[in-house]
Amino acid sequence: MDEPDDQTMFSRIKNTVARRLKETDPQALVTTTEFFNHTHVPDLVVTWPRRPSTPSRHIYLRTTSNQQELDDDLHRLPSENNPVLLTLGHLEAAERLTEPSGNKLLLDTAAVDSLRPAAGAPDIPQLVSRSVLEGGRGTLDGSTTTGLLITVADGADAARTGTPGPTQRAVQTASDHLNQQVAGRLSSFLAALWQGSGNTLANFPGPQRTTEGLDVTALMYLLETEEISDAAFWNRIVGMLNLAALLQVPSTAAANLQHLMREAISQWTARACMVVPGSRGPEAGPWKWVLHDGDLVLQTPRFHAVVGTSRKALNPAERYDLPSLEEIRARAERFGIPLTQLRMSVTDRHIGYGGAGDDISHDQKLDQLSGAINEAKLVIETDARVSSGAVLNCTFGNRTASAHGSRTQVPLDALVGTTIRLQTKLTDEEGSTVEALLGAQGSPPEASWSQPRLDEG
Amino acid sequence: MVAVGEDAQLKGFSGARRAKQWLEGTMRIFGAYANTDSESCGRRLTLPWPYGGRTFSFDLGGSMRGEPYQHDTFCAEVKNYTQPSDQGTHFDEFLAKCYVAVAANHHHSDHFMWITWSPFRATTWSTLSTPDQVTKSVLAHSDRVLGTADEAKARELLNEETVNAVAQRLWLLVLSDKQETLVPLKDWAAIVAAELVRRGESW
Repeated sequence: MDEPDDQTMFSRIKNTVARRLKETDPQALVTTTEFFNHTHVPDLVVTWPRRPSTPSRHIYLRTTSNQQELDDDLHRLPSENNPVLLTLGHLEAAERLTEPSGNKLLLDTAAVDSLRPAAGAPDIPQLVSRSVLEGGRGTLDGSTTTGLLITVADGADAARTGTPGPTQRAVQTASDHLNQQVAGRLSSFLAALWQGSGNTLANFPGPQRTTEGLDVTALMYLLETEEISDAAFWNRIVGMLNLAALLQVPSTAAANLQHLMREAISQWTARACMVVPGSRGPEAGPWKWVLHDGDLVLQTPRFHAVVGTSRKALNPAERYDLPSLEEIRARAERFGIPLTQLRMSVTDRHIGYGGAGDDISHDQKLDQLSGAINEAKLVIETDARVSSGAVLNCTFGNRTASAHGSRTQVPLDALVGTTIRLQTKLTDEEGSTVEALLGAQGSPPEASWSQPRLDEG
Repeated sequence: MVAVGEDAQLKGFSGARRAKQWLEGTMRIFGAYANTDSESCGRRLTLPWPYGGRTFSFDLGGSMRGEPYQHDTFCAEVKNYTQPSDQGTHFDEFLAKCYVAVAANHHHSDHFMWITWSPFRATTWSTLSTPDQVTKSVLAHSDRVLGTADEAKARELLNEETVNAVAQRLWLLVLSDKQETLVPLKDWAAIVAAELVRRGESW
């Protein structure tokens, strides 16, 4: 505050605070105003653009640390916008006679510094810091903030081992310092850790959820917190939710999402998949599962595969050149994918070739038919049987695959794996990586199974 | 909205705080702070007397909003008096402080506000912000301002341009408990605040 010019001084202080807040939660958008230490207008506003339902917070800076003046200021602040009064001085939380009412939060710069995450991978304290920024209430100074972070982190460790004491303290501390919604979310997260580690929900030392399932907010916390590489843990978590719940989580490519999907791909199902050139979203990395704008995506270096509830829901576009019959037969041969029918384009005519549901891709008759036609034979669509026995209709003009039958669901590993293997020409390395991620193609059941084609989206 | 004057008076808040809140209610202030808020705030509002080795402070300082005062700075002396008392004496000292601030080109010298709850020097009220009054006040403190108690020497040392600048920058504001309640209603303040926030810069 020793910068002579007031406007420069105001800006420097607010920019410093804005930086601290942004470090605490990189997903937050921090807006500065022209005002400083003003009774009516906040100095900064924090919003969460990727989570529009999250209420904004108005941050009011205060040059005074006088308890009576701060109490008066808090009393004047409207409860809407969950105001935060941040004194640039020093608070002694233990000496305060009154607590801010409702969702108002009073803290000092030492508390803001305590909320800054340590360098390195995401961890529980970082999760708690973001929760404080979003829903903190009451009074926090440096030591109470540090205490809050440690208590909840210890509680998370205890939840994973089914130890009730520290878990219960973490739940209570969250309730003391966070608004009801955010405290509930943190409690659900601790309960998820408790259950995911094999303990029963009935024994969880906190508010009981009404169902055994995992809510979206707890899932969000699970995905964003420090990496948990325990496969058995994620296997239990998969059993507590479904793909529809996962798709409600804001965009992420977190390490824990990869662990979750490793267990989920053989258990969860969907109906359609589409292969699109290039990357999807700024967080995408090579060979990673990504949640982006409500879609589940497998990102590869060259393309990405999007999972959908139907072909129509994927919003496909007819913009790709059709592959040759030879190319499709080669891809099917390479991965052992049985094709039960083909429809080809020859100049301006269409030719269909199919059977009773068995694999026609090696038929001699098909060889003869192909040899008899001199013009290019381009494949419009083909039906492929997958390891679950379901049939996928693959259309190459829009590079999509969709399950036959209006109610047929296909396990994600088979759906995405088959789509990628048929819709793109994979290099050897890509083929190996797809197998490592999604498993081998696998053979369908011996008995051929066919279903009359119905119009589906 | 809480009535500033009533509650503030009852709660015993400082005149500087009450003055700040009233000024903010005009929406013509970007920011303001009292010299007692923190050591940093105190330093910003403290200057040395040129002679004698002591310092003085203004009670309140800040930055103004809206033309013709956009980004102008101000400092203020606040007298939470219910009677005229010895305000005249303090006012003279205030004008001497303003002279020192202008001469030193202090960063809070665009405007000087005398904010009081009680009028004083009623018979000469209209002349309190004239160059003549500034001159008289500075001469009354010439030992600290000009380094001499000799009036003739002091007059030679007095800078007329500085005197005129002080006079031009002076504000005399008289508040009352009732007047402090005449501030924007809570809903209006919230609407204005929301609009100003909307125009803010994002990080």
